[in-house]
Amino acid sequence: MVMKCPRCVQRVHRGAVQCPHCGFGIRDADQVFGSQEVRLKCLTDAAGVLRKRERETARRLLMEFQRKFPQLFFAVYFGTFRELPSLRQFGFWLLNRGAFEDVEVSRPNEAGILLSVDVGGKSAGISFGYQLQPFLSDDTTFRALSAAHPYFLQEQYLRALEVVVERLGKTLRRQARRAKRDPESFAPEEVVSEDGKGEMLERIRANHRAKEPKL
Amino acid sequence: MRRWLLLGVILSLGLSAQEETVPGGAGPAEEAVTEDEPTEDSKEEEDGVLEWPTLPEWDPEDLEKVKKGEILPGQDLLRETSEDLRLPPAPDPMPEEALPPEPDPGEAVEEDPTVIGKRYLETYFGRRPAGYLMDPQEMLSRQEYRDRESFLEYHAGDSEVNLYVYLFDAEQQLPEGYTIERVFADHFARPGPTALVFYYLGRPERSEMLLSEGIRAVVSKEEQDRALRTSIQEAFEKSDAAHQLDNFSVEMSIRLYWFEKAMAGPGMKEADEADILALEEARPPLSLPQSENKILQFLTKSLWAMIILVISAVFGWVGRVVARRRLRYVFPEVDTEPLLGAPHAAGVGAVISFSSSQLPPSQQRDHVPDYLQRM
Repeated sequence: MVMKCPRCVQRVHRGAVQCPHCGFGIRDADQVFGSQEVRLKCLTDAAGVLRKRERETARRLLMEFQRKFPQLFFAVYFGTFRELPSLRQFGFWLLNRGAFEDVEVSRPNEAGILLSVDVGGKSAGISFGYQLQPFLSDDTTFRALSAAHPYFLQEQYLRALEVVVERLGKTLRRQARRAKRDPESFAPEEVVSEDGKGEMLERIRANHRAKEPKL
Repeated sequence: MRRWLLLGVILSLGLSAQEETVPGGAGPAEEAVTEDEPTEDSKEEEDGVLEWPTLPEWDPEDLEKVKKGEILPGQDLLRETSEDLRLPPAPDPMPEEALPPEPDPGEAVEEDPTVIGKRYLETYFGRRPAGYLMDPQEMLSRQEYRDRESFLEYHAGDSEVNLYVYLFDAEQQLPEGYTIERVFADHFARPGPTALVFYYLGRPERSEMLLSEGIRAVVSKEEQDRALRTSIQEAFEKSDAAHQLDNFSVEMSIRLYWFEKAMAGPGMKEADEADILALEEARPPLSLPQSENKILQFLTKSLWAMIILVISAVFGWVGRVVARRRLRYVFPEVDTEPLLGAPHAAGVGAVISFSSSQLPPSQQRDHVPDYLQRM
């Protein structure tokens, strides 16, 4: 599992509080985007690029993803970040500070995938939680975005979302089968204990506490 | 035992009487001459001498028969009782039938043993035989003929398959143009399962057999040959030609019985030519010939197979889709330490730009550190 800094895109060893290369940490992102928790839904069309019917289709698509992967959820954020410094840092920050209202508490943000689309800046990025770090990588996410690239160019965002979800879903199905056959190949450091799971759920529940969204 | 003793006494008395009365060894005729002298006897009786009973006299004819050996003296005494002398009833004499015309002596001399006489050809091949055994040359005696004819009649009454036997001499050859197939076609083509045999008296191995179409449709050629071969082998068990024919007929009858069973087994009991023709006549004419009908059946079966295959494929595809939709993918949970102080996520995936439609996605991938970009 190769961890990269959201700002300098350099490798960061596990457990580092700050990036050893640029000193980036969650506090730096909080200073830019706000330290408050943000309440939002899996499908957030802040840029208003989807029609109503497309939004319904997109929700069904995201619900289907959750049905397929009982531990995971997929979220998408369409916005305009002309004034934001980095889409990568935004995705990192939103997945840590966001409280997804329509996601079951049994699916923590550690098991979430976030597609952030900067409609104005014409860029798209993918962030994912700790639980998915053994199964997703920079390359697999790039391949998914590349498959959707033609639709992004044509501003067919729903279709682009469908392609990204389909490609990532295919990758995750393959990884799940591999993990089932050979769990050791993904080198999990420790299996989460019931107590640890309880702490995780407690943190998720804390994120769902009512707070005014900043965005 | 007493009878034997009595016989011995009588014979000894008779011989002694002959020696005393005929000193010269003459027969009973001379003895009669001496008996014609009553004066001497009466004198002895008168003198008180024992008188002997009169001796039996030989009939001259009996004496001649005894000399010829036609009469055995004392034969009646050797029987247990006189009732045993009754003779068995005499067999019924064969009816007197008109003798066939005597062949011309000249013709008999010229007759070739391998050629069937012309006068028999009409009987052999000109008409259907009245009985089951055809022997116009009278190679069998009448009694032999009657016995074998009776057996064939018995077989015909007991079996569905009639057996006709044509007898030829051992070395005789059929006239040119005459074959068993032709005879069968000419006289045995009418309904009913039939077996026709050309049997050469004294040469069973030359026998030929032909079965009607109904039997041949059921019984294989190998079975037919085996039946004929076995019958010939049975015939060779005897040395006499008539007895060979007996064995041959019995074995052939048994084989025909099994043929009859084979015909009855698959429902072909009635499957002889006439019945098949009758069925075909009763059946409405088919619109398609048999070959096209087979092709149509094949196509129908293929169509059904394809339909079943397509339906199975559709069901399989639907089942696969349903199974995949119901399938759930579960990942092993991993315990992670917070990275960069982030509580939930630090997975940084790819960032791609879609500002240019001219550049490929790989050239629009964002690898540039943020601190080199405009903040």
